[in-house]
Amino acid sequence: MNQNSEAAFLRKAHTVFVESLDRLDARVLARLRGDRARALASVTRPQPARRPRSWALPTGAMAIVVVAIACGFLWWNQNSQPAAPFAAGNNNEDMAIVLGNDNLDMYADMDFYRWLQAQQQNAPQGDSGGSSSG
Amino acid sequence: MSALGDCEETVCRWFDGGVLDTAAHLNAFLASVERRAFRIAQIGLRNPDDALDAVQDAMLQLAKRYAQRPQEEWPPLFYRILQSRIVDCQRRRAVRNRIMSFFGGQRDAEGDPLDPIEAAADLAGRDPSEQVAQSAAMQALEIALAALPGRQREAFVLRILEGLDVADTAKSMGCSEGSVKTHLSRAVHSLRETLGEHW
Repeated sequence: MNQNSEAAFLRKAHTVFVESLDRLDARVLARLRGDRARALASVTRPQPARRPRSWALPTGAMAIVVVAIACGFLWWNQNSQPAAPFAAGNNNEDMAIVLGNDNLDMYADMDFYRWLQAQQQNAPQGDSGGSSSG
Repeated sequence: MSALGDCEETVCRWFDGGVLDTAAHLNAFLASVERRAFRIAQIGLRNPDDALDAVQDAMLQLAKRYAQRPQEEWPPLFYRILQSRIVDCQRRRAVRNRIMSFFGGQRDAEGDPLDPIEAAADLAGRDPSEQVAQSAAMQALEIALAALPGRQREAFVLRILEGLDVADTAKSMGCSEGSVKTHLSRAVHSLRETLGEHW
């Protein structure tokens, strides 16, 4: 009973609503049609599948060649340059000293050893024999 | 040229674009729902001009964003957009009313305070000529619907007046099917109480 009356209520609501649609005035109907036309005009066309452009291939090849040349030049330039700290031939002796295991103090006193060597060479034989025997 | 002619011209221009089917189907769909959509928006907004704007927005958004979607998805998408526009307009109106009340209420063109009774909008948003044409039953239904909470009104309008099934109503409202049934049940109960047995 109650369900029947509810169904009747819903049917009547729907019927009343549908009937009211026929009573819309001309201004509203014209506006709705105009809005529909604008909506249809705004539909975006589906985009066609893109074809490769005619200039794309040569331009891409040219770009690759330019990049390859630049890389090759940089590589050649890097390999041809001498390593800066070891470049000068005069410095080979210095680097040998630095890399050696000898005490650096000995090189600092090199002048003293040279003077001592000169003194020994200039000294008379007797002095050297005496000193060696003494 | 009439607006109908505009529609046909637009459809014809698409012949060479290969989207004629979509355009024709969309045109048919919009033509079939535009009156009902307007009435639904009018029930929610109680103002014919705001209702027309909401329907216009819904049509444009559907055409721009969802025209390529399957046609069976159009009804819930369209009504979801429409409901969103209705809610947006209601919120803007609420903010505007709050601001106006903060600054001392609305005033007419001569700076005098508006008579609140005179300025009160008709609940169904009709002008007098429309009220004459409108059936008493529909007027009563609109007034009763306007008094419902928003979600209950949405559920009743989409499910009963528009005739969407439960699944599409749920999609349109952005909620579960269970929520639709709950809102609908409460709406029907309230409406029957408001309208009475002799409606």
